[in-house]
Amino acid sequence: MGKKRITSFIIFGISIIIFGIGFGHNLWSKIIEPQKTTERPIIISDIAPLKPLEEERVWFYHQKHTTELEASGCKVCHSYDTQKSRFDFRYPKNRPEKDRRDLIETYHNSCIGCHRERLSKGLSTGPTACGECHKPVLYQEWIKPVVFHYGLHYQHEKATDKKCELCHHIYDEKEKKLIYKQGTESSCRDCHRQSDEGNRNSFRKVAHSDCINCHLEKKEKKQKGGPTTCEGCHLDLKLPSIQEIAEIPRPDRKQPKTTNIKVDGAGMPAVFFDHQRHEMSSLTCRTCHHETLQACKNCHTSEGSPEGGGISLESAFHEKNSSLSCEGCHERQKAQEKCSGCHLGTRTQMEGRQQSCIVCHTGPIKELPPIPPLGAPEGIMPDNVKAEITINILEREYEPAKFPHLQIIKKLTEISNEDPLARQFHRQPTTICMGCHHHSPVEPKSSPPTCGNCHKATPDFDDLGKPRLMAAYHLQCLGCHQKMNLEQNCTVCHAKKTSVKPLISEKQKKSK
Amino acid sequence: MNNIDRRTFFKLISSGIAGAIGGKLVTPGIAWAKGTNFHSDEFYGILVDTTRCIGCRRCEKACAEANNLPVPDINDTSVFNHERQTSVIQWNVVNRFETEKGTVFVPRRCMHCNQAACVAACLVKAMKKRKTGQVTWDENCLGCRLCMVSCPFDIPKFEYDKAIPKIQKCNLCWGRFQDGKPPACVEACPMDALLFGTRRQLLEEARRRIYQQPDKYYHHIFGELEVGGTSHLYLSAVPFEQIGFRTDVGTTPYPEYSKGFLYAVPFILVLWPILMLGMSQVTKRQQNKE
Repeated sequence: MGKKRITSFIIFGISIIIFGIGFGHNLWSKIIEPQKTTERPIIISDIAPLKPLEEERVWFYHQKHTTELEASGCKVCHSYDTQKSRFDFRYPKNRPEKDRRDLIETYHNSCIGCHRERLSKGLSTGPTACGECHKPVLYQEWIKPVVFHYGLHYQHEKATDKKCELCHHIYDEKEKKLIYKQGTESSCRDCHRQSDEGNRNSFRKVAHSDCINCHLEKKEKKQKGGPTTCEGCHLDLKLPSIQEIAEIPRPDRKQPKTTNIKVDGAGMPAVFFDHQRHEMSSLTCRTCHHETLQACKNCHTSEGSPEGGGISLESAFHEKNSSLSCEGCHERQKAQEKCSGCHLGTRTQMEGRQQSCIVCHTGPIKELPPIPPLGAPEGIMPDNVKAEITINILEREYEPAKFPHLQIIKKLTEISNEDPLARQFHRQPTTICMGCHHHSPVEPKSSPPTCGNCHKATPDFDDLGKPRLMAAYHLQCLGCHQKMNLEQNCTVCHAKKTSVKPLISEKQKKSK
Repeated sequence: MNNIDRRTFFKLISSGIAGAIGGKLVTPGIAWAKGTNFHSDEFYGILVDTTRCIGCRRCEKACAEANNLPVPDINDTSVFNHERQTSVIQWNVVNRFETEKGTVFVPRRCMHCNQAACVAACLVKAMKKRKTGQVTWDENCLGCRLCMVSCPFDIPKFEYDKAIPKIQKCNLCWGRFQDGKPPACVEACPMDALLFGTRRQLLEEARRRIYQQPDKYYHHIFGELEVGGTSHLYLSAVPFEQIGFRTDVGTTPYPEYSKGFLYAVPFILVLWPILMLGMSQVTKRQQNKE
């Protein structure tokens, strides 16, 4: 008995050790939670003079430092100008930009010096050895770019009592100082570019110093202010939907509510442009105006000029592939789920632009004439619009498909009527029909050809581009269902038959 | 038309009516035009538009039915969990790939190369390239499996478990083609993702699709130039590496690699000895003179 008990104890002990070695790593090792704000590193990017780097780049835990050193404030690391009461957020303090060696020394002395000092005082501290900072980090992107949309702009307008000069300025070449002039406001990025240019700091530098300094000032005065942490702007700010910020008043820069765009020497009639309406469907002015917030024709001349990037005024309005042009933006709206069924389907292949010119080129008018919503299809073609179509011509494996013709037209008409842009372009009630009846124009009071009129059951070997009937049905119906994210199961349209008649009967097989 | 007599005219009319009625009764609509003859002496092929394929596997079923292979259960979607190769009982398999543009289904089968490596490799001409493009297999096979080794797409499969083994691979429905019918898979495809026609027509159609929808397609037709051109042409929305294609096969037909050497064989075997003999004769004569 005794021996048995000892052996069983030994076995038990060994198994515990094995278990411990095997799973211990997961059980007892520290698991890093990337959700923890202090564990999110930022890249030290202001190191242009140090490139190429000799060592592994340093990932800096800014949030960890700010929480630990909250009592001492930003002054510990960043220099403070008492006269202007502003922080200079460059690190380290008084950094020498010219000499590479000097800059490296200053970085090391500032970081490691502080860490050593805190270590000697017995306070919480950071690494002091090379490899502890210069090590690769599995970085997960968490910094989102800040979109300064109309909502945020309005919030700042209210907080500063419409003192535009607090942020907006231009540089006076004669006086050699920054002045504010009403009506010249543009995006910060207009002057402050990707990197420093002469006495103009980069956008990244000015955005951080101006925003945070102002926010800190408010915080010091115990007033309600903006965020002062990285996360506050770069993570927690949620982008509003177009509907949400449609109500918010737009920044006033003396822009016209409506205008007639007339180009001298152009053959086409003027375009009536509802500026206010278009402000409602964008997040920032930059959506259309680039950074300059200038009128299009100021840079884009009719011939194309270097200021306008060589792009003529005509293409600035009509270029389909640009997100800034009129037609490009309108084109992108077609990719919306609700529109894509018709617009990215069979129709795209034969879509003509010629008829849509006059929708925009109205000639000089004061107001757009109201466009009546598309009427109910029964009202226009009472005899021809079938409510339901049973497709049984190819029936074999599946029961006949019941196609809710009228219901689909009604739904598409409803979608079209809801969308202000679609309403402008879908003028005829039969426009909706064209989504499926793609080749032949649909006239009121006459039936369009059915699918089977053109698409035959057998393939046409002389015209391979035309799908045969079965494929035409599936490509059209399923294509739309795929793009509009609707049901795509076979049995949604046609139920499966329990017994299927084989194509070649048993008798025929035997005779063979 | 002038040389049609009364009798033939009635024959034609009555057979037409009977055919129409009969056709309607037996197979409504779906029957293909009987006796559609492919007169052209060009290479035929299939254009596979992978942007259209919905992975219904009807082509697999139709292929099995037409070629007397075990019919797969096409409702079973678990087959998509791993990438499949063609096998002795499946000449055509549909694979699923997750790509940057979503799920893509790709039917894999014999490419029917314009200058097929398997045909060049075959010792007994059991593999044949037909005048109309099909690469077919005949029973006079030795079983040497050189075709399997030579194929750049790893398509011919050998029946290791049979006493009298065969090589199994897609033959572009050679039997049906002779009856004037397109391949079974093309007939079964509900989306026209498979298109049958002459290679010239198919290339035109493929280029038309890329031209008309430049954003939808990746601008390359797989099989246009690969290994010197193939009868199966593929269109895709994503680069072909992402949907299981070998893009490193080059544009040189595989037989070209060995052609130079093979042409040298008769020269060396026949002309070299003659040359040597001649030279030895000449030197002999000179020796004799001396």
